[in-house]
Amino acid sequence: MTGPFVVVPLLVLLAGFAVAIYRQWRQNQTLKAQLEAIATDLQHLQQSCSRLVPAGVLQHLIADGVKSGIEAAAPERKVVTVLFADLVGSTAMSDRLEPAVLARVLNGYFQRMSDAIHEHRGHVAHFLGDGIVAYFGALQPNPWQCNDAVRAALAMRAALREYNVELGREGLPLLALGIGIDRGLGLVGLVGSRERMEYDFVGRTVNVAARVQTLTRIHQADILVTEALSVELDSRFVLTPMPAELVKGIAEPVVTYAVREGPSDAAPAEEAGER
Amino acid sequence: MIAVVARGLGCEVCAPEVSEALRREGLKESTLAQVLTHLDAPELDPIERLLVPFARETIWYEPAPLQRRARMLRDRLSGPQLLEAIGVASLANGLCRMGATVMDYNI
Repeated sequence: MTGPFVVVPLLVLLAGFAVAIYRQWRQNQTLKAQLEAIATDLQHLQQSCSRLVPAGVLQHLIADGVKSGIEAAAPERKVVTVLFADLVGSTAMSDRLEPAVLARVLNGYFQRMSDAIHEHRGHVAHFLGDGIVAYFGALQPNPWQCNDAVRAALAMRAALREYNVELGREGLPLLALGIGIDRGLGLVGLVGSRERMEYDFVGRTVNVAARVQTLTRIHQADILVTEALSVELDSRFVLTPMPAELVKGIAEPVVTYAVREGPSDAAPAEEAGER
Repeated sequence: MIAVVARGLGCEVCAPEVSEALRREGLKESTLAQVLTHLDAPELDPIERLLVPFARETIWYEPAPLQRRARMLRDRLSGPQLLEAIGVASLANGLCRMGATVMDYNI
């Protein structure tokens, strides 16, 4: 006689549990789907942001979490190598080419140069018109930043040579490049207003690199480095000393060295085979 | 390899320890300075000249250059040698990162 009085409530209880478990499962599925959608959105957002901000900077900001931008990346003193690159004769080219063609040519140029810089542990800080400012050793400690910057410059030279072959095939004007490189102490971190900040390097070195870049036209050399940088370089880089020149904003004449070639990046055995 | 990683991470705990050990092993001061400054030296043998830049690439995990260096190593080393190189690189990174943390260095 006690059977139905026990079994029925037990079944009702079990049914209740089953419904509750099913509801929880559905809720979990919904939450999981929402979480996946948010993760995908975040991934897209990070990809979009990485086109505007160097990935290393983004990682710093994400790692610092909820701190405000200014607090998170407070400027610190660092020795950084600055590479300043500029296209030669770009104004004349911009007058001659259709805007769409000019944009395509410039974007191709920027992509190749950025790849060469990134491949050698540098990061592009700014595109200034057709100019490029890149830093080595700003985001992460890099005791080999001088060699890296000059290797990047040589890779940029090689990449531009290849790009010019493509441009020549299309009957487009060929590009020429001037690169100035210097190293020195400055402030690194987020600088700017509350509305707009940039991860930047502030110091005399940026100005010197830009001025040295203008000397490439005078010395007829595409890559020039300062004396301060040349003493840090691997002796296997082939440098030619240039006469000291006065440049705007710097009191003393600037001594520079033209970079002819650098040590091979190939495996030692391959290198030996090439000689 | 450990000395290179220590220098790359600025680990002032590991760098002098490893340098001292290398000196005891007979490595000349000038060779060590050249390797740590330019990641190469004429005194290194061909395998060491591959291992040194490989060690450097393991510091910040940049996939493209790291894979390029690893491929160069793979072509020149036997399986066990390659495994040892990867193991030493891992050990070096762990050791130097912990060392840097000990000295309150912000990686």
